[in-house]
Amino acid sequence: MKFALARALIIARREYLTTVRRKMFVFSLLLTPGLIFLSTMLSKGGADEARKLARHERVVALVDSSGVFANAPAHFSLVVPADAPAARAAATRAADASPQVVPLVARRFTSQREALDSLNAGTVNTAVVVAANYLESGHVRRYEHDTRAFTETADDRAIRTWLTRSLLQPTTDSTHIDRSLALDRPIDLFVPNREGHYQLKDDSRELFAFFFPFAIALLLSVAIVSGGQYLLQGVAEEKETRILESMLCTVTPGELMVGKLIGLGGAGLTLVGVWLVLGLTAASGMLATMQIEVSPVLVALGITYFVLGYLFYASIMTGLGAIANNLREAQQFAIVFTMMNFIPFYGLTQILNSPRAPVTRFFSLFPPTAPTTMMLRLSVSSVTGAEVPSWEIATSIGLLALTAIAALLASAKIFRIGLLLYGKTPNMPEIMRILRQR
Amino acid sequence: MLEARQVRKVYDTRAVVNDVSFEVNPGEIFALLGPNGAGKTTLIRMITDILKPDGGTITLNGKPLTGPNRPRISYLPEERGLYKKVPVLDALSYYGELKDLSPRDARAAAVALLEEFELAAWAKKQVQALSKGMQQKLQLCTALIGEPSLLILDEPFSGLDPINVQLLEDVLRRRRAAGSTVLLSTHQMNKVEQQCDRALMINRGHMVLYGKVGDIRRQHAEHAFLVEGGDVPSGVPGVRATERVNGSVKITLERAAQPSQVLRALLERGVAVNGFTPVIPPLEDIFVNVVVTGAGLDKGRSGPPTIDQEPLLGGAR
Repeated sequence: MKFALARALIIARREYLTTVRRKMFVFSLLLTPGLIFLSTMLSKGGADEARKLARHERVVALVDSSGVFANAPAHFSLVVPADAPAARAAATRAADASPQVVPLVARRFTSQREALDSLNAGTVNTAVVVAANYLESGHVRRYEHDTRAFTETADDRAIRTWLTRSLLQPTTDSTHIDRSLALDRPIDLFVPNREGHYQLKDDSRELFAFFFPFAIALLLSVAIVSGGQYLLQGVAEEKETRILESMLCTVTPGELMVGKLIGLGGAGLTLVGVWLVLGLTAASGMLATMQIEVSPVLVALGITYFVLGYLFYASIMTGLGAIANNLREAQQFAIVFTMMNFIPFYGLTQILNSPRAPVTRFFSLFPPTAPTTMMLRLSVSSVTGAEVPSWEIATSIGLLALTAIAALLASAKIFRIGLLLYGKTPNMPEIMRILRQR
Repeated sequence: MLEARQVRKVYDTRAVVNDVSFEVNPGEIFALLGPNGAGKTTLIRMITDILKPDGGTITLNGKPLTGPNRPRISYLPEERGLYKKVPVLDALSYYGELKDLSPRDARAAAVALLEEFELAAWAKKQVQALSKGMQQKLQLCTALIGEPSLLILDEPFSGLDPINVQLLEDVLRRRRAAGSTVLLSTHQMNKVEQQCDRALMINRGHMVLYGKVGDIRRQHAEHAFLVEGGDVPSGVPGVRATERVNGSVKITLERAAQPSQVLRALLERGVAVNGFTPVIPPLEDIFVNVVVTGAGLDKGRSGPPTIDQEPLLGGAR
């Protein structure tokens, strides 16, 4: 029977509607962004709270056994400058941006015990004990009642700055003190851009510029896997419940398979699409501030890799669903292939730091890992000068396309025969025999 | 008309269907018989184009089973399932659309079938809410929707109560009257005798019986008659053995004896003969005999006769 697209689309429509109406789909659709939103709010709330606490006046009990800090002022305020260039720029752009000010009041104590008693009594926030041989040893201790998992760096910095100023004040003028304190922060780094001109390396902006395509790569990977999982589940269940044999009289295995690929791929894409729209809406303000731009070429390549990657993995999942005896067995087989898709994320550091390393290039060309690796490399490329050669992209897409088509054809054959095999999962020689069969 | 010629399917080196040839005429209910593992399902899967034959041809109305003929065939396999979590009407309409009906026509056809099978009250319920027997009827509806010209039913009566069996028989008769061709695979031989015009039996992939159901039974009849009336005395010329059966006497004739001469001899001996009818075995006995004795297999192996040459094959004579 000739392939009839109309029938494939009828199947696609049914598969899509059945899947998106499932409780589990709706649950995933809403719960995942809900959880992300909740964790973001909790994290933001924690950060805000820490910042608010840092702005409160902190009372420091100073036990200076060395006498080096005898002239340290009793009142001090640290103005915390932004570290990274982008943060400085953002602070300048943002209307409500104000530098963080950490006020500090020092009370002198003659013994560590008294200072700690005050700390325990809650009359001071911090006790700083300077060793008698400070100039030789540099030993300083800080005592606090801190139950936070990570200590707010601003607290430490305020005390360090206060001590440094007090230490240098007798011998150095304030300008030199300011400059030496500024050297505690990273020095602005200039690196060549794509055009070869040196420009300020902006880590924060790069992070955002990288994060956006990275998030798309991750979401596409999730879409590929979720679409493939729906296929695996659908085919295995339908085989188990013996629905398909009567249908194969009316539709060809090709129509059935293409219909499922379109319908369930669409469901996976819907899932990710909704997440993406929600994510973009939530992050639109930040993206506008950071002036992030994604090139149309990157978008086109993303779509190409998604389509081919989905075709490859979905074909494999369909074949697995057709040969497995039941859903549980099918899922056990599928784990290996699902993990393959995520291998590049396990080697993320390698890809980020060495986008041209042989192993990175291999994963960019190896079809099962090509979609994710190449999208990650392109993400890196979009913010650094480490451009991916065109021939590598073309070869990667070509290899992936050929493998995807081969997987589709093989899977169609396995699908046709595998659906009729009940009670026994074929072994590899039997699968090879199926592939050779007419 | 469905026509299969020299159809062959080989798995590894084993021929599971071996040069099978037959015809199914329009408006006919045709039985496909055979013991388990005989090759019936493989043959059906080749007719439905799910499997490709390794040899021979299968045509419907003179055309191969590809292209526009395909949607005109419906198949209800023995092992069958339904989408469970969808309304009954939607499930059935979906099958209609796959058979090239427009959504509106598919829905109308589904409604009509649900009424015919007394399932209309369940149209909006989910399939999983139906009883097993109702699901069985719904499965039949999925095969019938789209008015197929060839309907292949594998054990359609299994799981149905006597009332629904009657309902299905009526439906099949109506379909036949409307010109549909039905290929029925079943182990219920009484249904074959009641419903089917002709039959094909395969054993171990070979054709072993083929022809009109009545002809098959007659040709497998023993050389025996049932005498209703009085007792049959011993020593009647031409009678080899007698046996009392339900108040009548079954007489088995000698090979060369003519029934008319034996009847005359009985009357001459004063036997009150109220009835003298040939003993025709039920199809079930023929089936068992053919399978147990392996009759017809040798003939099949040496190359089966074509449809035009010999309408009836094998059987114990």
